[in-house]
Amino acid sequence: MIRFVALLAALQHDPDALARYQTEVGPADFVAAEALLTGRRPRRLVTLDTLMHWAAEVAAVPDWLLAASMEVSGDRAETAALLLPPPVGEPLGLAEVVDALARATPVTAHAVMLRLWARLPAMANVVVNRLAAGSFRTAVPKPRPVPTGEVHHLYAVMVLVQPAGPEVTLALWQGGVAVPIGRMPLTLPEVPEIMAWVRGNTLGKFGPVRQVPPELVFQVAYAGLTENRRRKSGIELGAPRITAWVRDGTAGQLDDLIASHAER
Amino acid sequence: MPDVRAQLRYLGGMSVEPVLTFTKKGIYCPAGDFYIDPTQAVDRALVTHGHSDHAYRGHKTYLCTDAALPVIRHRLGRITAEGVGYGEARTIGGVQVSFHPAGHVPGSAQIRVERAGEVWVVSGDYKVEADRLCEAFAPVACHTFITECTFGLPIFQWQPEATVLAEIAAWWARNAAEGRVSVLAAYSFGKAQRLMAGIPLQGPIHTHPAVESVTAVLRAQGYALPPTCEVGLTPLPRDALVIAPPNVLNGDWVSTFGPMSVGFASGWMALGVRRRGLGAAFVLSDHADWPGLNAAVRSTGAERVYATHGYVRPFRQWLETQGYDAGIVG
Repeated sequence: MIRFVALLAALQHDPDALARYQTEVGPADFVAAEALLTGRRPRRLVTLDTLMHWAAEVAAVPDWLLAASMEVSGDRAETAALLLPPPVGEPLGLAEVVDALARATPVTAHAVMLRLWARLPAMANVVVNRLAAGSFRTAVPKPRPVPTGEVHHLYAVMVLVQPAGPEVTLALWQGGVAVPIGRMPLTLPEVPEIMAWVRGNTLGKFGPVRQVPPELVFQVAYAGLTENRRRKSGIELGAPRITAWVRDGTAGQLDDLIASHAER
Repeated sequence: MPDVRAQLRYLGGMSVEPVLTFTKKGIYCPAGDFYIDPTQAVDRALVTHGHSDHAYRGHKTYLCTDAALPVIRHRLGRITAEGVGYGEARTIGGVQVSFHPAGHVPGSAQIRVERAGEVWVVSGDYKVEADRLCEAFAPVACHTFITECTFGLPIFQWQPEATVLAEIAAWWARNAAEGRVSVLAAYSFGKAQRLMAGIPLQGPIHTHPAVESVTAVLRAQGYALPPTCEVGLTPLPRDALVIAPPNVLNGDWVSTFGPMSVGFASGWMALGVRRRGLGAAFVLSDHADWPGLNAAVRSTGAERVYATHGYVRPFRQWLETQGYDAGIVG
């Protein structure tokens, strides 16, 4: 699990990180990592709010002090992890964690989380918490052609909207700037709600197109990535389509999500 | 003579004039007519350590530890200053003062003030875990403890120093193997020297001039520091570790280094929001973490505790729930 956390950090700048990870861990951990990195994340076992309260209980931290801590961290998964006491015993591997979470039920979730937490340092428990809450997101590694036919997901922010259609332009964060990655139709059931938000948050109009603050996050399914130097982002998504509006939370959580895409 | 009238109040016939009061210029001792770490020019300043937010310019006289004095002189130039040994008692206007190790940076001290048997201690900045460089924190029994709380929230818990130093060494070794210079951001006094004294060496250490000059001062005092070389004086080997203040990392200064990896060592690196956009991040602080603050407060035996510098409101409230008579400096 500790190596997986290092892998997540290394993937931001090192395309060979996954290959190196494979040499460092057993096959079970590698398979688990590959699954997570290609968007096959576990279902939500428990909410981040619940995790935070369980961790506060372990640490004997009262509610008001938990709130003060959360205000500083801004991230529920991190707040929960940082409150926990230092680990004891051998740290768990990624496959062990994923397996334990997959077997857990709402009834056993509390005991399972306490058991996992006790064996891992804070930086690993941040990731454990995101996995348990179904909020684990992976950054797009260095764009390289990947085999088509397999569906991948990424998360991008909406920057432009053409209400007729409607069609939206999505962007990824690169070096603090939202770089457009493509225009695609918006066909989600939440379209009326999203368009109401667009009307209330329009920064400017360019003909039929409205510019909005980069705040709404969408999940995009795509068939593969290819390099395209004519695009500012440098990548071309194969057959992209918007599959979900990621609305599970506050600006803080969106920040986390965007942070995970801060660099390719 | 101190203005006793202004400070004296009577309650049931008993003097309740506090040993220390909180003024606009800083913590003040009316009976001794001196300030501790004052932020504005005063006649007599007792200074806990040489960081610029504690040792200000412009005081008529300075009193600090012998060990802190060289760096304070180096930074402030011509000042009228006197040093005392750790634990050495001085009497100032009927008040006894002494300096005790705070474990924050070389020469750093807590200041103990005793008047007629009542003892107050001002912590200055402190770190409970010992490191390889500075005088180790020593708890001082007192009735009233004025404590910093830079990291006064339960989300701040440090790993043992050795663990973090080993992480930094591994990062340095990997960079060296891959031909990248390692550049570590650290404040030029304290953190920089703690790192060079503590990290298992993977190559030579090169320094920014601001780091090098303070390092030379500390080395002359006898602190055990490895050899260092100011950047620019000799070619920079690829296996070098460059230690530099954070503010120079975005400018021209690093532009000639070639391939490099930048790391940051600070307690704030515990937070994702602070790590964002930075390179390698190492959680290493010269301040006490949450367990450290709580242990330090307990070990003084104090009944009254004032919080300063940091998350003062939650920390004060927490201390109150722990049974202390708690307040905030200010």
